[in-house]
Amino acid sequence: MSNNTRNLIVSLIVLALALGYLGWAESYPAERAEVPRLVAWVTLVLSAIDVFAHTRTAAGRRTAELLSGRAHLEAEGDLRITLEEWLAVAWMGASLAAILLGGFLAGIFVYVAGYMTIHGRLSWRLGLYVAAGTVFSCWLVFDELLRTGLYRGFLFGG
Amino acid sequence: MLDALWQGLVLTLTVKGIAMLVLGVIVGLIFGVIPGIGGPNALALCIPLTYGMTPQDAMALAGGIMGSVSFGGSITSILINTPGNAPNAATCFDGYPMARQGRAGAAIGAAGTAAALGGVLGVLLLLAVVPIAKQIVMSFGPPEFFMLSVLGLACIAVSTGGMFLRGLVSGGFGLILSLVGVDIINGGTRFTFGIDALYDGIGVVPALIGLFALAEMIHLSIAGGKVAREDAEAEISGVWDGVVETFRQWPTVLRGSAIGAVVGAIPGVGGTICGFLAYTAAQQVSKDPDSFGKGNILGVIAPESAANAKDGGHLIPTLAFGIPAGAEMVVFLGLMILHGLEPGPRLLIDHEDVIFALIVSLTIACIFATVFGLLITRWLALITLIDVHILVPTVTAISLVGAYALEQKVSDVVISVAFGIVGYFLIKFRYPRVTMILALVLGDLAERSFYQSIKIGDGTIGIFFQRSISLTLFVLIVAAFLLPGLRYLRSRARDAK
Repeated sequence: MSNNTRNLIVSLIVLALALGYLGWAESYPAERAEVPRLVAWVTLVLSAIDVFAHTRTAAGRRTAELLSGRAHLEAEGDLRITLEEWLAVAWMGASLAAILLGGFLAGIFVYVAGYMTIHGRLSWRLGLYVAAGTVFSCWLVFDELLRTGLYRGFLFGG
Repeated sequence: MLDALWQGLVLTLTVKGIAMLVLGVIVGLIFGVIPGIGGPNALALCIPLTYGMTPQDAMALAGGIMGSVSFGGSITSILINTPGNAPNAATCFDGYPMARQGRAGAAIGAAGTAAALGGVLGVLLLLAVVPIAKQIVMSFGPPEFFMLSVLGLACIAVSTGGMFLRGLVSGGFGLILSLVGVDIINGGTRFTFGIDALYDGIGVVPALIGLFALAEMIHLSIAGGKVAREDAEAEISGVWDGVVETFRQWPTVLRGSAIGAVVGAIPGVGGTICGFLAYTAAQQVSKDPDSFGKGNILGVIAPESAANAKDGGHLIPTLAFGIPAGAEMVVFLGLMILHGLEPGPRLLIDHEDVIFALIVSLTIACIFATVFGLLITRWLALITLIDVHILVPTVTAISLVGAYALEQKVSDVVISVAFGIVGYFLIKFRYPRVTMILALVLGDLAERSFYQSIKIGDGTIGIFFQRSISLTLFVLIVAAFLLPGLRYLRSRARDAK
């Protein structure tokens, strides 16, 4: 699959989202839907132009050039989503899951130590030191100084 | 104005104010040194720290960051040929050759001094403009506010370097997200999926932290390795020579600062171009233009003075009209909203003391950052050698606690992570994040002023074209939309030649 096709698919997804939003906006009473409807139509039209600009037609290419302000479009990097990218996103999700389950202090400790040792392949001792330092900093700044009252986590009755 | 300036000075020069300023400078230098993180992310990360602060202290922290991040960025430009921030890119041309010649200290000394002088000159321009801007903004009503919101979005979209259309699409989705929650005009909720946590809408701060800090962490996590791709030059000496040389080259400093401040005041132009313009101007007036790119100290002084002077310029449209001039200013608007400082024309009238506190902070920060930065340059450079596998989890963890701390809602942490993931894919597929966050910031103002304008205009949109300022803003919006087309035609004409 070429970069152009991937770009076209992304544009189509965005168009579908705009269309879905327009449908949702229409479901509200007229006075509450006025601005959402306006925003939805503008976004829909812009998304449709974006889809057209990514078609393999001469007019599409010309539209893309015209709206980019450049006579020659820049070459884009590889738009394939790699395993490394999914892993990085998964680690972000893992940080959220750890915090929701164990609260900020336990969750951050597990996440930082886990990321450094499993993903970063650093020594477990360094992982523990950095994790402890991060937890201590968060506790000191937010819990003690700012009196935030950090979330305790689902497992600890938070 | 002198009264207001004095008041700003008194508000800033408290023990807490100075402490915040120093903290801001340290954070700004550290984040400036780390390539790719830069000013907007440093500001976004520090927003949670300001929760319990007065607006003045928050402005001191922000002023410290903004005043120092550019100098931090110049250190990596000189030592490892990697600009810490985009506006420092032009500094690489001569800064890095100087480092290779064993003159890294002189280059850093010159960069620091030029940044301090440029920053102060930029702030002086801001001071001169504030009274005039106040007179103009007094005549603004709802139609002008609405037009300003649209103009802000159009200008930022134009500045996204070839991503105008997707910038506007991204802005459209930002507006869509700003409409989530309670309808401010008619009551009732909209687009909440029935989730209680979304009744208050999507917070700007969690979204900011996600789109900027967390998205950048995903990006770094994938890149792996160390932030710096080459080892930093170990020997840093001759700093004082660079300081003295900068004062000797005062015409270059003045020219660079003027370019930075004036070009920086144009919304959407961005800071990067200031450095390049100042560099080109210095080369053109030089008696020895061929020495540029080979380690000419003027090639460091010119872009650095412009890069820091642009902050004063950037603040003019941001404070006076609520139109942020760049990504850093978009995040700064988020910080202002958090502290009850509604962006837009009323800001200069209702919160003059806070604005002058910011101006004072920025001035002091520019000087302090240089003095402090020059003292710790060697250690700052080492930050770029930290493994990203240490940097990523620690910054992610602190960001998530920050997202939670404002409202103490776990849902904000979820929102941040969601925006972080969306932000990463926005980077990948070239949808500018900055237009989305700006739309989220301006959405409320745009909707409110749209309704008010329609009411004033008896249900018609004619009101937007009947008032001279509103009509002028409309013409500017049209001009902004035509700009990519004009650039395209110019680019084709150049190719034809």
